[in-house]
Amino acid sequence: MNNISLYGNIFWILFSLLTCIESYRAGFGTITKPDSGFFPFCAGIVMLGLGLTAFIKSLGEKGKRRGGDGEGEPIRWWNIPVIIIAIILFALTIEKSGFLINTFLFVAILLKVVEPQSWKKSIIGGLATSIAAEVIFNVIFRAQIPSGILGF
Amino acid sequence: MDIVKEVIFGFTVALTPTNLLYCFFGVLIGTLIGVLPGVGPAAALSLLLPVTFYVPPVSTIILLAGITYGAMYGGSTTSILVNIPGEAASVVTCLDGYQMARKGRAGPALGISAFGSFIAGTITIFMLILLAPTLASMALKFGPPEYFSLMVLGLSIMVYLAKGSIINALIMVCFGLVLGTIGLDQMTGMPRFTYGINTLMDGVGLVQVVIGLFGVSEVLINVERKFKQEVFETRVKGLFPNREDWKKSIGPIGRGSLIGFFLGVVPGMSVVIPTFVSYIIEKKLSKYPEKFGTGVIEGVAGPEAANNAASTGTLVPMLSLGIPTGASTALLLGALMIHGIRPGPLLIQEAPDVFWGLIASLYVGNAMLLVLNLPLIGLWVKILKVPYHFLFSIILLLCIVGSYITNNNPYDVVIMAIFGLVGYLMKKMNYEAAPLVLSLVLGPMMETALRRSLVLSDGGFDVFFKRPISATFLIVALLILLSPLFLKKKVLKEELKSSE
Repeated sequence: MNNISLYGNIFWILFSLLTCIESYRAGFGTITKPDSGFFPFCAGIVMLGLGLTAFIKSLGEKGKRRGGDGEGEPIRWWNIPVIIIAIILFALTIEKSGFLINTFLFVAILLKVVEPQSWKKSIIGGLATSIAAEVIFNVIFRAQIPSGILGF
Repeated sequence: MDIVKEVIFGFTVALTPTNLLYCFFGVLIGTLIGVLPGVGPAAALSLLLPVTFYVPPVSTIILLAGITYGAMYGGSTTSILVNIPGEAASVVTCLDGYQMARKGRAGPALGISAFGSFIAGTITIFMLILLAPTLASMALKFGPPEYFSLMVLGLSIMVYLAKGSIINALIMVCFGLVLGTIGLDQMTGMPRFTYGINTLMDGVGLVQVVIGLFGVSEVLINVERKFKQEVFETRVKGLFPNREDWKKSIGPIGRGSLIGFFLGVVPGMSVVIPTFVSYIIEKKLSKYPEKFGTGVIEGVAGPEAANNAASTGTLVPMLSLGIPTGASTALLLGALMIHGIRPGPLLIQEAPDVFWGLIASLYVGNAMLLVLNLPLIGLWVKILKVPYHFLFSIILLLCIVGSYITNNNPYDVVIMAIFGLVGYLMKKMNYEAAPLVLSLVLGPMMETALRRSLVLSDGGFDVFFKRPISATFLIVALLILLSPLFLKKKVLKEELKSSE
């Protein structure tokens, strides 16, 4: 176990407490007439017990570290937020800018940033993917993904 | 004789040109998904689920089922040629399949995996025909307590078999159960955990959760480090195994089919475990166990038959009881429910075209895979050579589209991204996604069954123990969960370690 596990267990304890409080607010009911909060409250209580057990266990094992595949290789952690932010921006702007533009920007940026390619490759990759995706989803499957400012 | 008539009826449904086409697309996409590392059948099913809104229910289930067993065929190709399992059920195939390829025997390895899968598919379809209707008629006697206890048993098995610690797996189950309660309460209509967010009123979408946990998180894990893409350069020739190969393989294929089917039927077992069990049994039975891992054909034939048989076996509880056994069957169940069809004991009577059409399509699909796969192996190898930076961009784009077109709601994509990050962190901390997905699907059903049972009771939980079937399920579940306390180490896990 390491610090990650410890923080993970703290998260589960807090999450289960929140679940119990919110479930209780939703209404517990009685055993013969359980209300909306009954089931999640039970799940929350069990999770709290498990979280506490895991937390105590991880305290005892703190300091021990496991070896993993590829350990020693540099972790390119920045790729994770780049991808998550790119997906969220894609979603939040799709209705205004449209599928074609967003797909082009999304793929081109990922190609340039995540596994760095030349600008030429990134732009061509983005362009080809966006056109192919538009044809497949909006023309063939008629998925009605917004066309945005381009209008098609 | 009735069964023969029903099977013939099934073939008349499956062999219509439209359904043949959907079956073809299903197995083709499934094989492609199986070939591509990083996208499993669950992610593929969730990506295609929205597309099936416009397709009739029979064709939908034929298409989606085709993807699940097509992926089993495809997964073996990458295991044998690249030593990268296309999906989890093909991990064991790497052990001997890749070694066979290195010795210049890639052809027979690929051949026996295709023939073994086909034979297993054929055997298990007959078992499905016999078992599913019998189980369905038995399940008609089930009330809410029995259903609740059966679902508890399924989740317990999945927890027991989870890779990491049992506590982590149980936390995942509880997390899934809580996630399943988000949205309007099915019985009272009261919103829970929605915090005024409209997108959450219908609950957290299964499609978004599965795409996030399996698709996006897999890409995140892969881009974290430089991706090593090596395709073993070998000429794939002589796909037909010789007489000696057949002699060695026929036993493992038969045993693998039985192991795969019966373990696949057990909720929570999934398709992966049977492959490991098959490998271990073949190693135990072999006259030369020390050669396992160096390229023996039995190490490919058994597990490959087992994973195909298990994918048929998982359909038994899904079709006859309405209970999914893993993420893929949960999505199949979801697809049928979207079309207003409720899998369960009444499915055979209420929608015989869906039930028998699906069974016949399994056979047609298996035959298609055999004809398709052997000549297309060269194409799959070429696809494996596509640089990963192009592949992952396309996979992410498919994830976004799959999430978006379910409800045409951009916030669904945001939910998917959040679960992508959650899935990534779960992998980092050794939490498994499968118990979460299964409990997310079973959660609403469990809650309804629990609340109905308690209303039926005289005011206590003893309703679950007064009824013999329900009591048996719960006692078995309890024994499974408590067994690690008495058994120091899991025998299966130890065996797996020694195999590796």
